[in-house]
Amino acid sequence: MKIPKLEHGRGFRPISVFTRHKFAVAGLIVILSEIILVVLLPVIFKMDPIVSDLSSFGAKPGAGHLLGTDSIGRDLFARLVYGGRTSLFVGFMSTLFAVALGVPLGLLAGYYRRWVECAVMRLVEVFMSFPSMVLILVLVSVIGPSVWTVTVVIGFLGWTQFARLVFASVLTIREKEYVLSASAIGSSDAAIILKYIFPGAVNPVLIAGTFMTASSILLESSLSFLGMGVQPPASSWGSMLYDAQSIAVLSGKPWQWIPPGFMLILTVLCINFLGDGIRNMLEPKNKTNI
Amino acid sequence: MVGESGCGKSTLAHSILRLIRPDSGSARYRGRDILSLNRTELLEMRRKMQIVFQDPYSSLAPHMTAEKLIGDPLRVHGCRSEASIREMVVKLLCEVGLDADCLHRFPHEFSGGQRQRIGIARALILNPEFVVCDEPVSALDVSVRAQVLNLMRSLQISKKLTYLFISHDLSVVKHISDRIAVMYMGKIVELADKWRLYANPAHPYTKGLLGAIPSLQGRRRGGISLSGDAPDAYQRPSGCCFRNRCPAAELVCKIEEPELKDVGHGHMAACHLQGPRGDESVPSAAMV
Repeated sequence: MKIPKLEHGRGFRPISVFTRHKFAVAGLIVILSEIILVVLLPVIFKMDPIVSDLSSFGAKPGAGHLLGTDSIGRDLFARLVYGGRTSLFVGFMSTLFAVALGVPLGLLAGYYRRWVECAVMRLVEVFMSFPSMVLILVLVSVIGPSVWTVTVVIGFLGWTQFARLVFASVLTIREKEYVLSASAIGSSDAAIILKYIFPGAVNPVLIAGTFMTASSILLESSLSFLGMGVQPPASSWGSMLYDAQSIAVLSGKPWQWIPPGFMLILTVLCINFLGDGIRNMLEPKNKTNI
Repeated sequence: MVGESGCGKSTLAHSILRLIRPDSGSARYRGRDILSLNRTELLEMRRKMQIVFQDPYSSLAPHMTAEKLIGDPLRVHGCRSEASIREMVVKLLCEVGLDADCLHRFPHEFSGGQRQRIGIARALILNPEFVVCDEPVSALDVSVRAQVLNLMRSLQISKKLTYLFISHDLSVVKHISDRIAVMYMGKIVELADKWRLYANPAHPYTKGLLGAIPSLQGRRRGGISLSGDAPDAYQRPSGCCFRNRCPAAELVCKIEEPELKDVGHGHMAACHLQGPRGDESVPSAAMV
């Protein structure tokens, strides 16, 4: 067995650690191509996910409609691509929103301690003590379901994990002598936090962010499946599954639900592999080999 | 400044620079109370007073290159031109014995001695007058210790610096100091010129420290050997904090805390048995 180089000497190459994890590489490729495809396909090919083809309802996959049509004649391939746009958008944006909310709060709580820590961490505990699915359902039905509502609500309920992660990192970093040296040269609090503390707390955020993207995509699908997510006629992978709920469709027209289900599983799996790879790359000590 | 581990040397260093807030007392530099300075005054003060930290492995931010580490003080103090910052950094790198190749390297790519040189460069780039050196060589290998000490000495002369040099190593202190203060349990127990202190230590603790220096000629003149450990800082003994290890402790040591007083020629010591009251020196061989 080759002994892996762990110390951050000149020979340490995080990239090679990442590429050694084959599933992570595959995950990265799949996710990137998905993003490119859902952005580019509608631009290159004329496709419409809303207009019904009055000549074919519930058609099988074939020449005219690559993946067939649903029960009111909408092209399923177009809906799959546009649904991918929605699902990926919600996944990434809600994570971004959660990071933007949680990271600064965690930094402030960890750096200033005292009442800031008290306020932020108690707030985190309050948020975490709610069953999030129920809360999301309530919030969405109060505000009204839409892509943006779902994104913001998922992000708004997801910030706590980032605040806790960053808080924990800051607690260890602020005891390091280099933070003291930053104040010895006269850096302001903001400069100390941004230039000296934050870079040391980024890695766990990146890793947790990847995993949250996957779970947000799932959450959005669950919401859409419950009818609380994306509203028709717009599509997401979850809402396509919702449309295919009847027994007749489930048993007789599998092309209506297999593609969105498959894409959902593939995407979530790939993002999780990607997260594993990033974790191996950034935290060589917590290595989990697959 | 010498003293054993945990006696408060680093606390003193950090208090002087207002890196921590002392619970009581004051810190004065050129007559100004550092603890009451406002933001701009504090920034001005930081330009004049700098610090070299003890541990070169944790005192340099691991994600910053040498250029950023050394140039950051200039940026904080309002220098905006990247070109002139780089010029200054390169100049200082040369002065501390590193070359310009190091600019884009990260701390983990340097040895302990090189890192401490970067720490020194970072402290000196603002042209301070006064530099606190908090055990700057204690984390280093013996072989590079002398190099770094000699570097600090020559920088002291060329840049006309005043050092507050903290150490627990008497041989290092003897090499670099002019005046030496001995600290025990958070108090300065003796303060004197280097030669006077080494030739004629007044406080029994200093005698114990000097007696503990290994030498080939047997025990030093005037040295004594100490027994026991420093007491818990939360359970200070009454009176003189050194009395339960002192070979010559008397009743007065138990009752009254000795003040730091002149025992002749600017030699200060905090001991009841020294100076005008008890002029006879402590019997040095009492415990041997």
